[in-house]
Amino acid sequence: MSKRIVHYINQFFAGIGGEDMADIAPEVRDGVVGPGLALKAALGEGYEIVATIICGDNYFGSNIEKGVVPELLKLIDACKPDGFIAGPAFNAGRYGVACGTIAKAVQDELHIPVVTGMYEENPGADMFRKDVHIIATKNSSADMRRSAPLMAKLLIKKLENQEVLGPDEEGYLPRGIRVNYFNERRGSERAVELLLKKIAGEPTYTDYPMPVIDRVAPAPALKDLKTARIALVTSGGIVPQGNPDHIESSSATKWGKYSIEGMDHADKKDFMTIHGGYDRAYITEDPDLCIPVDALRNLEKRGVIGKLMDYFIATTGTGTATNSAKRFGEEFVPMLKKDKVDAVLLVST
Amino acid sequence: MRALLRTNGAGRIKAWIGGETVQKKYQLVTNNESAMKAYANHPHIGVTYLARGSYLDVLITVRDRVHEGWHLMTHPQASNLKPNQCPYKTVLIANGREVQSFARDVELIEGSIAAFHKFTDGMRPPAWSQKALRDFQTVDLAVVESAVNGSLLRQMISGNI
Amino acid sequence: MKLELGKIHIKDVQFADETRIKDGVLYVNAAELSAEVLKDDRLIGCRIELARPGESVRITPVKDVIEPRLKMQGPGVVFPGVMGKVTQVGEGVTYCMDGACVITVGQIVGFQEGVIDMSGPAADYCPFSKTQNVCVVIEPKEGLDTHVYESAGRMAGLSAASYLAKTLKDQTPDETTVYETKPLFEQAAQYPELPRVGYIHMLQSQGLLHDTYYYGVDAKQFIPTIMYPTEIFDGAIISGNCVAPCDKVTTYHHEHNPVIEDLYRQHGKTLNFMGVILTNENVFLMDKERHSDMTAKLCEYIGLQGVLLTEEGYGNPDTDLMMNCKKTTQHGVKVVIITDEFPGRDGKSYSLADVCKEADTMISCGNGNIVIHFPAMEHVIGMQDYIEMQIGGWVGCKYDDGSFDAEIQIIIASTIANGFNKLCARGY
Repeated sequence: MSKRIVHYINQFFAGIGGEDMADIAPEVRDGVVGPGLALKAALGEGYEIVATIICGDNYFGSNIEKGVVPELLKLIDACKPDGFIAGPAFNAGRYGVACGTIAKAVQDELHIPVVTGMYEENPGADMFRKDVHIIATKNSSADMRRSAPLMAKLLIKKLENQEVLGPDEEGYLPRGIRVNYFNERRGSERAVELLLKKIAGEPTYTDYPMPVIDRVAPAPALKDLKTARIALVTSGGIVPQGNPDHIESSSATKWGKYSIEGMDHADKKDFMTIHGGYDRAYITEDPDLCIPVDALRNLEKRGVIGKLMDYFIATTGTGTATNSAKRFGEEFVPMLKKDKVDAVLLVST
Repeated sequence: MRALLRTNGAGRIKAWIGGETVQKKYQLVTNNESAMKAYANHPHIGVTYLARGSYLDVLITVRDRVHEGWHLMTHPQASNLKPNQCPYKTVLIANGREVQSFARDVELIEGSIAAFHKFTDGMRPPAWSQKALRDFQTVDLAVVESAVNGSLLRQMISGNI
Repeated sequence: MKLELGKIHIKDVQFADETRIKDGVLYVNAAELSAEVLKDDRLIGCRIELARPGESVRITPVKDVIEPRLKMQGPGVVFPGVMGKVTQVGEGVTYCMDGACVITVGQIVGFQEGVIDMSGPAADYCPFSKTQNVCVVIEPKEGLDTHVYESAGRMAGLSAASYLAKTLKDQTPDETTVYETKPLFEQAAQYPELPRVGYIHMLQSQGLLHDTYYYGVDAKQFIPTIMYPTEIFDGAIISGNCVAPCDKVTTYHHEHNPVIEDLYRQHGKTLNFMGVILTNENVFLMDKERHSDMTAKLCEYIGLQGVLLTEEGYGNPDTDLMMNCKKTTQHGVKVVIITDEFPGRDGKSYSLADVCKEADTMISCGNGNIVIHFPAMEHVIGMQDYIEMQIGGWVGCKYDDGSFDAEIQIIIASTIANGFNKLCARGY
């Protein structure tokens, strides 16, 4: 009997629609849909994609706390799968986060082999590469032809309990897991050879790449607080009531800019928190606990600070990939500079 | 006679010895009773003794002191024993001369806290006997003493500079 | 300085009435050897046991491993300043008992020390699973201070090695290697076309159970200095530390420093081996600054184009390692680091305790946090009582049948960070 595979894709790859259809709820279809065809061909005999689970990216992102993951797990489990494939998501950010989240959940909860695929810069890659095997794809779906066989091959290896080799051999994104092996030569001998290469200016290698530490030099201190224009920036998930920009409650892929013009404090009738990483009871009652508009207005009135800007910037910090966070900064900092902001208060939770 | 040790709200550490208030330039932050006893009456080294504190509590206390303006004198991961291999930790800090920079001190202490979690999260510690615990105290103390008795630091401490 | 190292191959070890070597077999008079060790009145007991490759034998807790060597010609004695006068060594002729080791076993301090299995899966990780071992199991006098007992244990191993080394005297070496490094200017002139290469050897020096001795002096008391590489083959450096088993540089590993051996192998062929810079791993941060400055300065001063850099231990020494790497690189000298890794049980965390961007060429000696199963052995030399307390063990890691699970950091020299082994880690 063939081994049963379940495939997860989003509304776009299911051919349902783009952004306008991103809110669709999960559904199960028998057999292959869309990119499943390429996977089916690559899996070959002995493996059958028995069902395809489709879920809108927005639905997934905004229902994490309302239980979209258990809901999907239930649908997947009902198909009695032996293995699971999500995506590939290529460079689609929310889809990548969804693929990573569900693949990890299936691996942890249903205890079956999983594989997903995405482009290295997809925020989901950074978030899940340590947890699940993510085949490295290029940044567009044109790469399906190349990546489908890699995903299929890796899943088969895992299903058949064959040894999974390193990222270079299998094509997955390095998970950063340090695995031992016996080299053919002892370390000191290799080190002498490597040193000679380095001295000669030839290409070198390292057994252990140093982590890249992205340091930001602290800005110089403010010269005069009394004239300083101060802005509030938070990863605490404070948004206007109704969350008009649909910022995710975890693993955010976007940020928002919201007005506090004329407000002497942040009122609960205007603001709410969507952050999925802390007990929201207190901040729901008093948003000033996260964005201290009340205290800053007071300082502004007393002339301690020059001006509190008429807006604040918000996103959700929990689970958010560093790549995404970096992009947010690159997006809103020019705006702050244009508005001649002298300093920001980065308030977290 | 055992010294009374207190920390006031602003984080400035003062040691009261025999009723006399002394502001000391050097402080041992430790959860090791042997280290506390060895330095309880030292003229220039005060002791912040966390009697029921863990290895992590010591690191966190040191981190807080660094942010209050104290400087690291000894490496917070001194000794070959990784954090899950020894329950005691003693770190020497000073409020006089700085060795490196504030940023580097923060890097070292935060790195040590990260290493603590790396080696302890989700892991059960070894089962230590009473004798082992005594030996750990001895080794932890010996490691910090290797610094205190080193040529330069000994001169700095005895000169209270 | 020129040293001829004559190796007498040992293929078996046996008890006998007379201590001697015959036809590649080391015969040991246990009573005589134990009497030699017990001349130290800090010890009240000394039992001699033998362990051979392939036997169902476990040795634990292990303190040090030493290869017996004998000075045949030239000044000084093996282990100068410790087993004899402080006399310059590294010149003349020295004989080695190749393939045989003295292993000191005994409870040193409560948390204790490593394991050597002579067969089974753990044997793949340990160089001493492949040697003929004379185990010296010591028992201290009651109530000795920890540091006094540490010293007695260290001396017991060295005394036993020196006693056995006497049997080398009438032997003819099976293999001879000549090592030579000339005074600086002459050495530079000998191979002007080859890159001038050195070795920064960092010695563990953090205090009790964390010390290393150079001509008998505790390494934390010196400032970085230059050594002729041949000195180390005569036992100029001995180990006084016994904390982390996996990357402990035993006295054996100093005698057999693989970086020095491999640099000599290429000496005059692809590189010009100029010498060794010894430095330490002190606890006081100002010592670190000063000594990394001095190490980098010495590299520049003696005109090195490249250096290999090794450390002993994890944590505090990683900071010295990175400072040495950074500053030496900034002096225009190329650096390759050899190190082992501790990325945590899941293998996902950063492996070292410090970092610098100059550390862009690292040779890995393996991940010490990997867990393996240690099957029960028919015979245990020493005692297994402390496995749950030893480094790499945990509460409940031991089974009733005498087997246990532990991280490979419990195995002596499994991830020794000077490249002695073939074990390596890669990213998955």
